[in-house]
Amino acid sequence: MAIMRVNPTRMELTRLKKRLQVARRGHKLLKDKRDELMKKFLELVRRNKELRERVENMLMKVHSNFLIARAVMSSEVLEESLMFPKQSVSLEVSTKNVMSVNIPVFNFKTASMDESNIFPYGFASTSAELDGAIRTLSDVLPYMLELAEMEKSAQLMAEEIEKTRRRVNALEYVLIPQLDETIRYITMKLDENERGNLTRLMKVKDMMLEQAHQYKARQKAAD
Amino acid sequence: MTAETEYVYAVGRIRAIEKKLLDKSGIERMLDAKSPEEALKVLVDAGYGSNVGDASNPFHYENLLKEEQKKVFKLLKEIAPEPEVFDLFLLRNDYHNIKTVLKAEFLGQDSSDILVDSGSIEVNKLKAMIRDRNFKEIPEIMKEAIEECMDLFNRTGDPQVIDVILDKANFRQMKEKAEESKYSFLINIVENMIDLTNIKIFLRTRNVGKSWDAIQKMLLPGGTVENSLFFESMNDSLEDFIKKLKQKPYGAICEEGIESFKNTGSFTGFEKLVDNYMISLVKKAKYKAFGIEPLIGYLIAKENEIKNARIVMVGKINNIPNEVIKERLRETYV
Repeated sequence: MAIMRVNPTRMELTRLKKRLQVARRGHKLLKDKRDELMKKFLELVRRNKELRERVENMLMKVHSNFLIARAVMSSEVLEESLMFPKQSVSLEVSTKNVMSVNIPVFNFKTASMDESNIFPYGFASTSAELDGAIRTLSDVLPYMLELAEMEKSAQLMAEEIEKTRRRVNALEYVLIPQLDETIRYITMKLDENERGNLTRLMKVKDMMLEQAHQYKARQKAAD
Repeated sequence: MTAETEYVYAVGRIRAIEKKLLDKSGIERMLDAKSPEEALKVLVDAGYGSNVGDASNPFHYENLLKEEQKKVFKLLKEIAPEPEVFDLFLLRNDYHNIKTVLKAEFLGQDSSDILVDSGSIEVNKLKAMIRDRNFKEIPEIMKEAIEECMDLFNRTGDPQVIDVILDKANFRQMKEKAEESKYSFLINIVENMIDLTNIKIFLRTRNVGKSWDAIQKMLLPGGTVENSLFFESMNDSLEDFIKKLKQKPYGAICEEGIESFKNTGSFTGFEKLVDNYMISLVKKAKYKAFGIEPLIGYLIAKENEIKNARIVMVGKINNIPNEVIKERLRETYV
């Protein structure tokens, strides 16, 4: 592991130690966040799957109804019957914060509350099969909106999980080891300096002692 | 009303082409076809599409059917001494066009592609007349209906009123035309149509939970079943309602239709029975030597055949199992 390009000074060491501490704490927090997100995500996905299956079943029913309606009515009459929709839906989108992910929340309101008042065509010239299709479509809409909300949330959450996981990994496998390494390097360097200093001092002391002894010896010789 | 003997030539022509109608085995051959192309071939063999250049693409079957319908009317109008009688059966297309034009106008869209060009009034003329609000050449009933539509839509913004008003006008005009022609055969057909349509409307609207107020507005005038009978049946069970119709010639099929509704939860069976009943009604015309009846019989038979052809083609293109298609096929005329 590469070490950082820092000056091996005591000040730098304290700075790095502080950084390491922050990184460790961040790592722990992010890991918790990731786990929690995962838990929520899995739950969401499970519900999502159920809902999707239900919606798909309903849409299949609509499709088969339409097919029969299509078979007994000419395409022009069918299109004319449906060209002017009667029911309208207004949709409000707000957001909700789940673990720092902004997931969408749909609120919708249908213009007409009357369940029997959703058919935009006359009953004399159309097939009864259309009623079923329109009714099911009208029933499926809330589920479809819920599904859209859920799938978008799952997508956003997945992105967030990926981001968080990358951060956790970066901390765990890059930043923290790097800091560790650098701190060790600085400590070693400082220790080395310390030892060097000590040796030098001892040497100097020796030399000074030597000087003193030689002086004595020369004095002796002079006597 | 014209003397029956004047129909000798027309009936002769009809007798000759009647043989080309797809009978049960013809329809079955379509049904047994392995691919949509093959099914289409049976249709082409039956004389469909000689006017259309390319009939090889099964996805254009709708054009073929449209073309065929136009051909039938053209032929009938050509050979019949009283061509205007057949306008009765073309009114449906006029009203379809009016609905489309009105809705397109209210929506601010162009919808030329779903107009039908085989009405009794030429479609472009109709479109221009509605655009210019120039109703001089439009029959009285139609004119009133269009004006009512515009007025009511502007007040309520409800697209359903357009269909409801025009459907009603459609049948009223049909009845009027039938009465003008003085053919009891025709009047009977139209009355039966109105009755059965009303029963269908009543059952469907009741099924989706409409109130009597709303249902009342949709029921067609001119039938032989009184509105009061429907009103009294609002809270009755389906069986009790049907019992009241027992005296009518279509009492039996209504009963059967309700039975199938109870088993399947859909009115598909009922609609099929209604179509079958109409065919059985005109089948008698086959044994009439002269008169307008065989012509009308042929017309309804042809429309029925087109309906069958559409069911088979849609089924074939979408890979629906043969039994499911078969359940929905109508009785054939020959």
